[in-house]
Amino acid sequence: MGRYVLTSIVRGLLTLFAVSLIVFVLARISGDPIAVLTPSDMSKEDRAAVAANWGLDKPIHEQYVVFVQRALQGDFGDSFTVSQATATEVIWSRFPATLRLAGAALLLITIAGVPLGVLAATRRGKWADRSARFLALIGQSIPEFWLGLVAIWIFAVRLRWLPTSGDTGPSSYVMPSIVVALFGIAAILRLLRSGMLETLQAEYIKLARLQGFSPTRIRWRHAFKPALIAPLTFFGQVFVHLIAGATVTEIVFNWPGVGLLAFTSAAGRDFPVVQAIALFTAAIIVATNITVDLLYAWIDPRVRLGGKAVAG
Amino acid sequence: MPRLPWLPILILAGLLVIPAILAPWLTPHDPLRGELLERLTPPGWVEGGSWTYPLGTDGQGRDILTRIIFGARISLSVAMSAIGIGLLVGGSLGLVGGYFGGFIDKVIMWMIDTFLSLPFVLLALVVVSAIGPSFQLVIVLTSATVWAYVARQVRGETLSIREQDFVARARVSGLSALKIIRRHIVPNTVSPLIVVATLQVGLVILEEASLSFIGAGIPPPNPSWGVMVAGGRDLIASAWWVSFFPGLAILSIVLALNSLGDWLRDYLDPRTRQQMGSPLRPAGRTPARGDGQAGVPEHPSDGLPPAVLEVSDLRTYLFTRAGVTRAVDGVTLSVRESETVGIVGESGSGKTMLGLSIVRLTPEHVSRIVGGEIRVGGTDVSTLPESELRGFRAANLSMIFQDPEQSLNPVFTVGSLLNEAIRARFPDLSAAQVQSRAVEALRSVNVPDPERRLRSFPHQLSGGMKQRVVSAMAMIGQPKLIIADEPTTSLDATIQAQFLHLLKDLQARTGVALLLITHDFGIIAELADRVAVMYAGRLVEQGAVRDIFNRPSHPYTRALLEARPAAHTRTDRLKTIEGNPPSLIDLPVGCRFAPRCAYATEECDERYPPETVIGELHRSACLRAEEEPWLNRS
Ligand code: SF4
Repeated sequence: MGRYVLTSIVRGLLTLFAVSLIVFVLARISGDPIAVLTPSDMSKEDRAAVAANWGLDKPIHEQYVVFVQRALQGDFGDSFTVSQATATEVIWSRFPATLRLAGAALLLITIAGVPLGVLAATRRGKWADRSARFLALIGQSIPEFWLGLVAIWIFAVRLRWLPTSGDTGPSSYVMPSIVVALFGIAAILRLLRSGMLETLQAEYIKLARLQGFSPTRIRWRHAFKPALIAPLTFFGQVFVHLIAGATVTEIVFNWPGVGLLAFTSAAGRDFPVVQAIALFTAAIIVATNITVDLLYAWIDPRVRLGGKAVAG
Repeated sequence: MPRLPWLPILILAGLLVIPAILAPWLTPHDPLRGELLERLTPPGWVEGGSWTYPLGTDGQGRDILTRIIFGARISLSVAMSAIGIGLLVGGSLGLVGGYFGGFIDKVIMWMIDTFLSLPFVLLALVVVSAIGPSFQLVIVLTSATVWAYVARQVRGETLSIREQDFVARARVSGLSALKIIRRHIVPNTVSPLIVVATLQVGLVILEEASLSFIGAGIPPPNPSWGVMVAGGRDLIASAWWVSFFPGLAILSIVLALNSLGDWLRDYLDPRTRQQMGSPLRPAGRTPARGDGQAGVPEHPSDGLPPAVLEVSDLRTYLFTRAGVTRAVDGVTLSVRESETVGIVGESGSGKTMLGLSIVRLTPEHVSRIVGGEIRVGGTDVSTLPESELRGFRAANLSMIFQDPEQSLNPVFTVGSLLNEAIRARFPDLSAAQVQSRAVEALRSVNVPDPERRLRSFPHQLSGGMKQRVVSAMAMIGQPKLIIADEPTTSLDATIQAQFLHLLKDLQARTGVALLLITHDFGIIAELADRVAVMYAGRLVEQGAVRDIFNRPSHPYTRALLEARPAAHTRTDRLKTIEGNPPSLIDLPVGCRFAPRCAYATEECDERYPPETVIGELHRSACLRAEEEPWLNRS
């Protein structure tokens, strides 16, 4: 178990290393680093100060050390577009809005995706299964940005039921959270359905039925828990897609979160802010993956306790 | 051959491939330059619209239909480039990792995991704020995930093929790694890769559109669909068509690709191939046909224990696309209290379906009991409604399966499984009483150190120990009948003997009736009182074990007995009988064993042999049973 957790953490650190390297290399190698790291309207003296600050006169590997040291302290430089603020401060001011939207979307994903996945598996081939699978197909195929725009057009412009954009109270959560959640619902539904179909065929389910347990008990206790094992390994990828979807959704709905910030900063060439967001997001992904690994061990005793692990 | 998914194919051809190739000839307008005077013309059918611009024009007066058609070019070329790079890079890395394993495989696996957890949308924005958007950037970013998916698939496939005999043989014969990979492994990875590639094309098109929408993809004014949707973003209140149609194109194409991918996965996967599509609706119960097997060996009512199980003319059919499989096709059988009856047959004889039918656990959506009766203690299980079935089964029936690995839920401890089973039966017991019953249950099946074992998870127990736990659970409800389906097949020889001994012991203590399904006459000899031989869905001979061994009266039984390995070697098949059992879909009218029977006559092909009485309880469904031609021959 200790070894397992350690592996998970080391893998996470390696991922962070890769992202930091990408970001660093982009700023230093592609074109003129000074031009990337400073706003175009900056004075000569200030530019020289920034260059000295980041050690741009030193060899490249020393520059990377400086970069990492500063990144670890949350220092990514000052924002070009927001005056008198560091990149980190700008991100922190936007983070709560993203967290609220993500929370709403995660809630939707759990209360819709999980029951639908179980329902689809237990009603295999029936209309409930077919409609759930159709929903999953749509959820995986629809571009979030377009769904968002169409929703705005119908529900905000035409019907005037909901606000078009921004974070303006509970009703403003409806459209963006559904748009973000749709992909997650589709993914969870599919993964859980196939996991459940597999466990429902296992002999231990037949034996549980012979024990006379109620169908609900069999579904949610005996089939559901082992059915989570396989889908969990895919959760990391689903999460990355969710982040991408959430970024695009924030842009469509002008949601004042980190995703919209990344978009406006990139458009304004505010490199410090964009690179900080990328690293920050990578850190969140890594933390999520480690959590998922722990969850996996908690659910599957074969991982937790070691011993001969048998697939299935 | 299942039906082709025509709709997705048509959508892909009509919206993606044909427009991409023929774009300049399909439309009179210029995709890049518009008529400013014709700005924001609505679609042809909307008021104020014009059919010159069927889907309207955008904010710069460009024809939307034209741009959508040219957009197909961009989508398709991005997709093809990304998939090409992804297949090349991912394919070779996957082959290397899967074939050579070891450290290099670990590194490749780590790279796959890392690439699949990178936030590419945000990295794209980083690149854009450093150097601006470009076509190349889109291809790099999209192929960065494709290769990882491809590599993972190829690696897994390579790993499993590498373990197979023909590869090992090729390696021994001195074939170089490169040749083995080219000749044996690459061809086998093709069909799963087709599925992955199809799904990835959809994903890449979606990613390209997303990137273009946020300004990190194809630089405007190129008519990428994502760029077009972005262009209409601020016009959504006044000119919905500018965003709507390009997005609809993306949705239709990705939807088509995903459903095509799903279809291909089902079609190319050998496991799902037979059961493709939804099964035909099982027909209602049909009246039992009365041919053959009518003569039930009536138990003389001379103070023998009562019958626990009485199966008469049972028919369980499977309804699949391939046809109706008559897995159990008119079986009549009984088991008394304290009696052990064996069912012997080759795999595919229907013996497992017979066992599952008795407890009504045959695969729900494809099978149905279409005729006959299953009486357990007088109650007909075959017609019991689901609500009553649950309690009835819990009180009367139990089962032990072949694979102990599969019989215990991996995520619960032995203790929690036992406790749950005890509580379900005896809800009034206190926690301590439940606990002591669980210990008792384990002790009764000779599990050493039961207190400690209660805290174990199944994977911490050996196969034999697991099977003991399964029998402990089976005994908790004090069942009248246990059906044991190949209970010792997956155990080692010594453990096998111990387990058979345990079953005997449990029966002696409780008087439980045992229906023992096996392919092994050795186990029958050791455990059973009577035996029934099953072939192609029917019992061809039954009788007391002694009688069957001394005077087998059906050529199939004789063949089975002769094929029996001399020593207790573990074999899953009876190898020496020539030929194969008939398909249960197209069964012959006459004797089902005729094609393999050395004594077959013309009459054997004409009608199903009625039962011949050989002795007390001994019946054989062979036309020549009385004549016994096999006796003269040898
Ligand atoms: S009925 Fe004919 S074909 Fe069938 S087993 Fe007897 S002799 Fe052979």
